[in-house]
Amino acid sequence: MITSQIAKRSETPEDLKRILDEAQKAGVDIEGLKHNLSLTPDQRLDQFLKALAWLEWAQQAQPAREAT
Amino acid sequence: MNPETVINALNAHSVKYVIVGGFAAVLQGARYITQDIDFCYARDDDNLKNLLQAFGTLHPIIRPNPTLPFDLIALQNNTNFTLDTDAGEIDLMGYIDGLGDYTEVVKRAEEFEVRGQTCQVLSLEGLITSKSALNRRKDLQLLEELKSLDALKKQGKA
Repeated sequence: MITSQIAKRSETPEDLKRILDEAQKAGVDIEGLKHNLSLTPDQRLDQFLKALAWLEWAQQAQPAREAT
Repeated sequence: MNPETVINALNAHSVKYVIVGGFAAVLQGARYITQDIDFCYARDDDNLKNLLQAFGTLHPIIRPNPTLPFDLIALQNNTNFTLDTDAGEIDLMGYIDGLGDYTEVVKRAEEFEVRGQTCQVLSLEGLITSKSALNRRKDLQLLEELKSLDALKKQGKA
């Protein structure tokens, strides 16, 4: 009974808004997440692989820059 | 990292698996970068054999001990593996903290279509439960993202 009440209460619009407000204060890019939810899994994967490629390029470029 | 190759290999050999961890979070919409793919797999004998066949094409090397062969004996005697493969780093897990083994994890999975392949991906709720159970500092930001995605989806349904 208590569990179901908590589960129900956690889904109120006010609680959802509070979760999002707190996350935004913690630095979460809510607009970015909204955008991602509008994408298909394949589009999310494309976006991720592109970001990963940039990260790996930056990781490889860093030692090269330090060596010069 | 080449997720498509791994998923194709697992599906081609009818492996029972669920995509979990950071890569599952990415497929669910998180803005997160991970350099490995985590899978939870079923530990019955047939699945272990199918898993071995699937990984046979990916030349797996066990990360902490490259001299140890990734074979049936290794799979029968160990639950979790970190592998270097032709398709990138892969973590295989027989048990997920906060959720349990494959039979429990698959109950929290959702079917996704990725590059034309059907795969099971841990739900936002499952990801939140497992990341909360791990209680690791490095997961805090991702946990906030997962909770936000969950809230946004529920707002959309309201």
